[in-house]
Amino acid sequence: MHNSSVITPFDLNTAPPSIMHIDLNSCFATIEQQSRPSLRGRPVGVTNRITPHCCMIALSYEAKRVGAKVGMRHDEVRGMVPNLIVLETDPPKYHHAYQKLVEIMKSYSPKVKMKSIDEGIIDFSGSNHALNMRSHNSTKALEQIGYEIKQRLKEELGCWMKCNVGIAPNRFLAKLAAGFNKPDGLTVIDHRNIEEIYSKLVLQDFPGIASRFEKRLKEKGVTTPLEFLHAPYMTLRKGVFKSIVGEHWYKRIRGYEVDDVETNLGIVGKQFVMDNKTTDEREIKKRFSYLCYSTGRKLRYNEVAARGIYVYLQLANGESWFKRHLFERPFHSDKDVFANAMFILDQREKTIPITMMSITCYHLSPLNGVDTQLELFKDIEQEENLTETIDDINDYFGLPSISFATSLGGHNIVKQKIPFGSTKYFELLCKRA
Amino acid sequence: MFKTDFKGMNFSNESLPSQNTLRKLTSEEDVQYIHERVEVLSVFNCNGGDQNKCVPRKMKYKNRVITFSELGFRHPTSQGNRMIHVFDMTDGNAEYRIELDAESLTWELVCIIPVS
Repeated sequence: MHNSSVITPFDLNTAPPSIMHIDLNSCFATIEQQSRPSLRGRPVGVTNRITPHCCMIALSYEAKRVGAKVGMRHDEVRGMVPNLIVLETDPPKYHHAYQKLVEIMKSYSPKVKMKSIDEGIIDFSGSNHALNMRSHNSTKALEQIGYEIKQRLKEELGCWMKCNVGIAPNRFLAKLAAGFNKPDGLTVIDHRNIEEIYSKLVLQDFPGIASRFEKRLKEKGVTTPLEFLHAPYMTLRKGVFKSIVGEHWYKRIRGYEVDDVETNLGIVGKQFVMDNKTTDEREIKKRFSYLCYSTGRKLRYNEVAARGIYVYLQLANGESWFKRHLFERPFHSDKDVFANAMFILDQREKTIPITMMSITCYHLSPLNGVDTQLELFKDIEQEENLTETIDDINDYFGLPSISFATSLGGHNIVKQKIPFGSTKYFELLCKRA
Repeated sequence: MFKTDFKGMNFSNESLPSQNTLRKLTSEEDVQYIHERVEVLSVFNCNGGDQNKCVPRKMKYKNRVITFSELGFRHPTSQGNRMIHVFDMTDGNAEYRIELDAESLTWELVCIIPVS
């Protein structure tokens, strides 16, 4: 049984675990294997658009076992796994699995935070009474809940569905724990086994430590996770990270919570890798106006208006072109996004074909706080009503029933894709034509 | 008006004639798109979990009866404001995507994918 008064070396957090991290194993690939029984036990890759060089956004464990990794190109993975089966993403299917996972998680605590489409955390802090109803040991109670969630996932979504569960005193350790014993594992990390766990890892096994941070740590003589744990506070604060980040890492790896923070929406945008490298203005405009339309929808979905637009292009000669502009008035309608973005795009060198285009809106402010001061040559209220009506029609009849004439056909080319990480546009993504 | 009459149907699990002409699973060519209304016999379980509330058992397509052996996955989606339930089914020989339009209460066979 845990005793919070236990003194441990290195100031470890001795509080009982209260954070549970749930991670659906190879989420999209597993859902596809669930949907199609013939794919079970076979190497499956999921991508947004099947081309020889497309990026694998999910791989089944059968493909991972031979060394294939998420993020690799289709041709690279096929070189390693000749019998690979590649499928395109099916967003509504994943959305349903996501909703079911959230539903199951919320049945245990209202404090649920989804970190991405396939992973989330349940915060059980303050739920001691409920946990004690299950078991006299709260850690045991959490383990029981973890196994129960695995079972419910199979009952609600299908027998092939598996998840990893990590239980720890903070979000960082819970995520780390969820990475062990894949697939279908359940691991608890607390002050009693933290050193044993760290002794089996390398620095880059820590979520948030990539090559650059590893290099900085090694330069100060910190070469293993255990040495990281033993490193003095001042070495991390002043020597390695040279900022508050060092203090956060000092606390994080000891089991104290520093990652329970909300971040504000900073940018909204969309990018498209050209299917057709061209200088044809009409073809470029068709795709670009659809990007603007999607971006406008995202702005209104988030109930924000933007003042800035950043347009970035990758060109066929290997160079890139970008330009940004901060406009005087905030905007959120498709028409304004398109007009402002075209103002920037028209300033480019038009003789070189484009290979990738992206549009990003920044300087965001809440939509209800936008200054709707009357303009002499523009009826703002009428424009807003029109935008709202078009959105309603598109919601009712499916996307895009009404859109720019310039973007006609664009929605068939610039398809909505599953994003990495964020789940904030899932509802919007799943509205289908 | 669609009327389901399972009397006199041959309930054997016959393979579809087009099955042998279908190719590998790794491209769009693998999928035989049908998009035709079909007759479906389903069981509605009042106590079933999310995936078992409605389970299609048999489908009549081109005067053949396909007996499903497993429901892979069921998920809802929308076409505009209309709710569509998508069922990924198999009979062991091929996999089928069928959709139930919750507004018109009609079934559509969307596509057939052979099992290789």
